[in-house]
Amino acid sequence: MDRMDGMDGIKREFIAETQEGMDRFDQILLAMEKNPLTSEAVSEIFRVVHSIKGACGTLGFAKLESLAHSGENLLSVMREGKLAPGKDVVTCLFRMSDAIRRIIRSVESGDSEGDMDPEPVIKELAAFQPDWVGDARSPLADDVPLADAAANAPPVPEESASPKEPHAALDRTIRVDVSLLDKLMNLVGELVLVRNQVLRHTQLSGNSPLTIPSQHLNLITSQLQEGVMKTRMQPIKNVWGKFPRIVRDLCNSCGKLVQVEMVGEDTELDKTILEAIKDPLTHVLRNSVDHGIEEPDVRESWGKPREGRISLKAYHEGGQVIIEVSDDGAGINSRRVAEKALEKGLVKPEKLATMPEWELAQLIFLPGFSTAEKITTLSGRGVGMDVVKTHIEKIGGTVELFNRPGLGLTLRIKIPLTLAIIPALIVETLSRRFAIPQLNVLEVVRLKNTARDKGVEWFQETPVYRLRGRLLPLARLDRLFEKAETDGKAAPPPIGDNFIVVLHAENHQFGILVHSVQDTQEIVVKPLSKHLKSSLFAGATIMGDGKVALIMDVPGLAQNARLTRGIEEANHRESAPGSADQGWTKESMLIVACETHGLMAVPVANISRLQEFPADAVERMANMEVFQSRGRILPILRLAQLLGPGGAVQTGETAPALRKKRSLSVLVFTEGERSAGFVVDRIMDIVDVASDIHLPAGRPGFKGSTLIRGKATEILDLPALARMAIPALFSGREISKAGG
Amino acid sequence: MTQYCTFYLGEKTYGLEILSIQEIIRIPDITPIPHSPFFVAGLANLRGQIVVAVDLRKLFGLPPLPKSQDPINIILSSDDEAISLLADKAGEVIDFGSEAMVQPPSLQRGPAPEMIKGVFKLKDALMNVIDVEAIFKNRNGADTEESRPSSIGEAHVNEPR
Repeated sequence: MDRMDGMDGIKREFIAETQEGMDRFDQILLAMEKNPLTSEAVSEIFRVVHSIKGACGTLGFAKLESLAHSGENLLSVMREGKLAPGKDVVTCLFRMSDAIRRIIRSVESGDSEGDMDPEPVIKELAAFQPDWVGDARSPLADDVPLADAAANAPPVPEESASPKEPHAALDRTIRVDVSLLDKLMNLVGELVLVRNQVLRHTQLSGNSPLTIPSQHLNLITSQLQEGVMKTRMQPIKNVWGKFPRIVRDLCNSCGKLVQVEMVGEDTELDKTILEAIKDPLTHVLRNSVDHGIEEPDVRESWGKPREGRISLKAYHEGGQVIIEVSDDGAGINSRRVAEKALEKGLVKPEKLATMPEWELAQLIFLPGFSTAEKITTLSGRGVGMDVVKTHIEKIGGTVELFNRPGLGLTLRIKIPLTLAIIPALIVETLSRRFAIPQLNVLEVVRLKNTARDKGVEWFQETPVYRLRGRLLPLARLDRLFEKAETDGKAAPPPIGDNFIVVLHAENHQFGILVHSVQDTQEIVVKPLSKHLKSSLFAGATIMGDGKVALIMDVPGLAQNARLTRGIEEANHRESAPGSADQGWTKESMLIVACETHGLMAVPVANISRLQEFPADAVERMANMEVFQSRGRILPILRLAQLLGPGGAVQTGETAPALRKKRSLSVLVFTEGERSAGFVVDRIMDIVDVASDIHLPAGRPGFKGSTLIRGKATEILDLPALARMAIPALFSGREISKAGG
Repeated sequence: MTQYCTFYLGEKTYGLEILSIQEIIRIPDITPIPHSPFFVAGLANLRGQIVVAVDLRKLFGLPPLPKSQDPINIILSSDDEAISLLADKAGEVIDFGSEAMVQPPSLQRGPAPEMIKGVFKLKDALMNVIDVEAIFKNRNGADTEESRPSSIGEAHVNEPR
């Protein structure tokens, strides 16, 4: 179509407007199905179709025009109240909406309307009209009785037939090309840098005449940055809006009844993120309908309402957006998932045996997994949740699964507010600076400088670090980033690397050695050039000094380093030998050593944190030993004395402090507002053990004993011990900061 | 008539169509990128925009510029992103009719013959006109450090993301 050349802008606008219009169209139709016919609703969708038709005339889309025309005819009959919008009518109108969308898509990708034949839909539409005489393709808009619409329906003003007339709602908004917004965002980023430089200079020069203007500059720049960020934000309902329609169609084709609920539709997200989560969310929704919600009869026999329910929830939390998709369907049968994964060879039987219940359900995220009993057209083609997971992780998000077998499933997706600006940890290694997204950072460990190898050991070919008893594999950045001159040789980590940054990605933990850790900063993320697509870097950013730093792609790093498998298994072997027959529930236990009592286990759930205190920081208050910790007074209890030599628990007075050790390892126990510290001789390890207690407790202060690594180990009952040792504190009296 | 901007790499004279050039500027700090194609010097900050810097000397197989000498960045503007070409120094602007351009001899040897669109005869030298489009063409997967043997051993997964 040659005459289209000069009309590109108009065409693009038409496409965008039509797509928005059709979204609205679908929404109203859906609403109509539930509470039949408000005449405003009919008028509104009439207007949508009408303006599409008008624009088609100008742009020369004949198929689209005739389609819109017959839709318009049908709607005008409905508007006059001559036709009730029954299910068949609504379905037919949906079919028209699909046809229009298809044509629009082909217009968007090329210039023509594509080879779709609108005739069947047109015939179908026409068949509903009482006075149908067979000629649906009347080219004249005047056929439509516009003026004598139903009395309570506001007549469409005649002028709106011209697509160039602005709609009333459009007066306050304008359409802006996203690339322009991107450019503005870049310029603002640039301005922020200049502002930083100006601020630094004025601060250095003390009281200069520029001080006040530079403060103003600071303020305005921040506001400008915020404003420009806002222009890119869109409510999540732009994506969700399509979901009720999708669910309706799915339900129709698989004979289920599902109601969709939405909470927080106005939660705003960066446009790029919104685009990125569209497909994964749709997939999750399809899964819920197809696999989650049961057939109405099945539901009834379970005592659930026949109509299933899917709820979508979005809200902001701590600089992130949380999206929850939950259904009240069957949930995941983790046994079946385990069997399926085994059958497909996705997981080894030994590994499966050591997995706790909740982890089994996570197997659905493995590539190539699909539990659907029958493969339907909707979902269950073997590509499934793993794709959802990769997509979400690609934009720096995480997916969590909460399974309630028989009751339903909740998927919680956490995504950053915007891709443009993220908090990151700045580290220096290999004499370069790198930014690590804060989302991937678990903790930073400072290496002991005394040992020559700094505590780094070797497991097969991989360097590992013993972090609280678990082997933490370390990725060698020097190997990953540079050409490796020595292959596979066990070489000590580069001298001068003093920190391990512990990262997590895709359920794996690993560490990287870095020279120094600078600070956390909000960084402006710039994508890498398309010529440089790398699996190691997620992008680049400009630092305060104007230099460029690369942003690490943590999942990519983990994949490239290939360091996860063997060590995970070693950790499992170590922590739970022969636990396959001990049931599926596991508990994490901290193994501690105590001079007089040997090894003991403490459920990790009882411990709020572990702390090291210098021994000379112990103060005495009344007849208690205390530490100052985080601005509060922490009473401490020495486990060895508490349990006494013969095993009987001593209460009341604690013996004088032994000061031979330079630092004390303390397990902090918290109950409500109150905390107490238990001093142990050594903190050994954390292991996952089956939570069955083999022997009941023979004395107070213990829960019982169990087998850990083939040894009978006693499990301490910290709450009981705390109550016994300081009854006053753990029965209601507040200890406050003022007391010190 | 087309205007060309000349620049130098060592002794040799090269040219670019002036309309493809956004600006010529010195950017002191370039951040190298691990596992990028061998001719990519790294990323540079052009007033808040991150541009990929291409080391033309490496591309044409010339020895690196002495440390004492800073290269210039010839910033090429394109629709979606800017690229910087590192050259020794900029020359002048010359007018040429396109008929004066000679096809490069087909037997031309060198590391990157496909990069030369054509040759103009100057008074005392030949000006090789660089085909900007060709820089990244067919080079993304083929001739990068990644695929060179023994670059990082088994630690590398060749997976496009």
